[in-house]
Amino acid sequence: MNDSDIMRLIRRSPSEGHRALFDEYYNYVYAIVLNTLRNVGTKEDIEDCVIDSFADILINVDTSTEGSLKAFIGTVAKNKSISAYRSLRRKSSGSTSFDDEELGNIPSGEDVAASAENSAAAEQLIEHIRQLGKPDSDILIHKYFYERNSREIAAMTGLSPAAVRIRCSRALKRLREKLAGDYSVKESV
Amino acid sequence: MKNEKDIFDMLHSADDNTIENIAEEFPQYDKNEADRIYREVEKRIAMKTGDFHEDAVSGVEHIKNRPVWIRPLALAASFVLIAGTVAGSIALMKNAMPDKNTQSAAVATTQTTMKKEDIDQDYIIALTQNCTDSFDRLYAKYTVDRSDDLSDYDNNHSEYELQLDKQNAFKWSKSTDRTITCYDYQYAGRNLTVIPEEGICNVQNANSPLESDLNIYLNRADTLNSDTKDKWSITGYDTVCGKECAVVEYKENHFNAEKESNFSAEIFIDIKTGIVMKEIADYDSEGSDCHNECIVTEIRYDDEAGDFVTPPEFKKFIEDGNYTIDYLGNDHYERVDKDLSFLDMPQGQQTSTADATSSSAVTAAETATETETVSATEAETVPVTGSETEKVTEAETAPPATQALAEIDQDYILDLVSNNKSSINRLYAKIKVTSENYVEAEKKDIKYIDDKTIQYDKNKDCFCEYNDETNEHYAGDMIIYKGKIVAAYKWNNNYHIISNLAPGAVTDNLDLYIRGEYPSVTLDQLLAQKDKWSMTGRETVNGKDCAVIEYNNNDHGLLEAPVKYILYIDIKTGIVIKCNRTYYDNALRKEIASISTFEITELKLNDDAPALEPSDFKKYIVDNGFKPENEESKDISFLDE
Repeated sequence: MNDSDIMRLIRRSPSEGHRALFDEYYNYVYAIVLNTLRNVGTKEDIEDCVIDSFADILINVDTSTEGSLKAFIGTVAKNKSISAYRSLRRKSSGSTSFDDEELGNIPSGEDVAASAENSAAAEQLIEHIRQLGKPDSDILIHKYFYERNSREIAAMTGLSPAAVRIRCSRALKRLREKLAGDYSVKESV
Repeated sequence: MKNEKDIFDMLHSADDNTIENIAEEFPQYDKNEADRIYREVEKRIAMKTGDFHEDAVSGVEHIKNRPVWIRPLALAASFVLIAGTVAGSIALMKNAMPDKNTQSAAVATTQTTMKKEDIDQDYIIALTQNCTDSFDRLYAKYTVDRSDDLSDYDNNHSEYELQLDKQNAFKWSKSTDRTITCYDYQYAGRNLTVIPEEGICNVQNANSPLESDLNIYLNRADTLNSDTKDKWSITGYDTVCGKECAVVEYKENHFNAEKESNFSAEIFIDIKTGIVMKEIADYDSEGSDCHNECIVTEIRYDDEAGDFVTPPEFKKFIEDGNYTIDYLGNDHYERVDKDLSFLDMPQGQQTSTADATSSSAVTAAETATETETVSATEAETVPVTGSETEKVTEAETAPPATQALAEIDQDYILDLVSNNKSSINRLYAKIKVTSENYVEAEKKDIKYIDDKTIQYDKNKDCFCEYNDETNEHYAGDMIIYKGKIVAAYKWNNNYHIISNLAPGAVTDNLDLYIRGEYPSVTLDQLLAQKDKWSMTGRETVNGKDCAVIEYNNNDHGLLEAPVKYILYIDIKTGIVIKCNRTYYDNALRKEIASISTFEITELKLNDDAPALEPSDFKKYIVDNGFKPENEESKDISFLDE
């Protein structure tokens, strides 16, 4: 279901439309929030922020216009997760300033050049993971990005937890081999 | 890359695009988890706004946009959400309840000679299901004390005063809590909320029944019904505020399947009317406790109810208070005409004035004939004395056609667009909508093309829309008729019916297209944000002499992305013929993020427009072999009526 379908559905039946929007963008919002809060929040904190993000999204979604739904949702999710990051950091250390300009770069907090380098490296890494094929690529992403355990990944992929662990181990080995060439100059593998 | 931690760190430093790719390519969607989180989202919405979908807890389709409400009702609504989770929605219960005629007899009996020993569960059910039928006029004062771990308003005390006049179809209420006092008035399809502390009077379409306030605290038809008989019992009798009451105890454990949760309530039901005179309710769920006490302190019915605040009196109250007329909530809620002249109308003689902009007909308004639906606003701006055809003729030959650009000011444009429905009896239009997203600089990605044909018939109160199925984003076809939508989809050859439409669905859909609201700025934004737009020229578009206006907004809600609209408005009809919308990149605030266009490529009005026959849509469904999605959607014979 695309953005326009969702908008139309919301106009016709708000509850159905809202659920459709949620289903379509749940992964997107979860990924944004997870990536911001993973170092400071628990799984419950992340879920709470996802819930808060969607509440604001569904309250404020403008059904009189078309397009840009993803941009809107992404912005809300990002703003919410940055707020949650601030709040969680204050709770844990009491040191984060409201005026901290670096908050825009959460979670890396590094300079622009380093961020760009990291992003490029991350994209390259994902390309290598993609080349591993399914289900290995799914297993690695769920383990290292979504931080799911073997049991959870097993439930999603239809494999046994033991099989997930074995495949993960082998996939990781293959991934290292792929990455070895890319990073042989910069790092000792 | 030394170890797993490097992979971990690298993935976590991914930028937005990479995250987006991961989310899209490697979804971690788990249905059960998503269902659970979505339920939490619904609760959070209820807590934040007091708005919730009754169908979300009941499964009953129910289209409504409840307002971002005043605080006392927000509290009430969040409680109702919890209570609704226990017993399902009012709508569901009403569908499930026994034949109303047989119950009315029970109620009539009660009001005369009912003995306590004869009062059983069936009697209480009949009583509560029909409690709003037991009076024509009601005056009530009641208090609500609430403590809630989930709420920001712990230990809140609220006082309510309610005047409900079913005969003359209006409702007045006053609610006060520790922070705010609100006056609420519902009449002729409009709902007005005056908040003296803020100096405003919010106006919107009335999307809820006149009895909605009553249903929040003083009516438990949703809780005490035949489906819940095993959860409650009559435990005694008591007198509250001079009314003899049956005391009902309701208990339900584990009503939230996700966690340990219990709900209990002691409800005092007036055995003559079924009104809840007192209720003490508790909900606890793994440490989250909610306690609610409602007590009626004064109640009178019909002739004893006393004098009520009439519509003209409420209008005077607004004028005397010098309150700013505004819209409620945000863009999530539909916008309506701010004209309060509908309050001038004498009681009992309401016509569907609200149809001037939204067709929000309710109760008495629904009985008005189509010929009566020219509002005060329309009468002022498009004076007509003859038939609708004459009206169109006059509108099309009136001075606007030769209006010099210098004479067309903002107010003129606003009047023109505000009243553009007034000259339309029948409409046929072909529309093209496109949207181009600029994924990266200079990389244009046409995401969306939508070709559609719309038809409207005022007398039949019918709107129909056919979309081009060859478009990638074909969104189905639909007709709105007799309070229902029939939507058909060629991608799966299915169709379904959506019932219980909010009033005004037909004209709301029409407005989307003839006011350019579908891709564009709403009329209400134009009204409220005059500083953001101006006339920039005059241009002929598809043979129509159009005024060109440009609207710029650098603060577009949460998105905060600058946006620019260019609207081309037919100066004869006030119909928005074309609109270009440009969103700019949110971060840089200068690069174009997307461009959308809306254009009516063909327009036929009134006698020139082909007739809209609802039966044609039925034929369309039959000819294309569409199948009903469910049992309830099988019968589309109403399209022949």
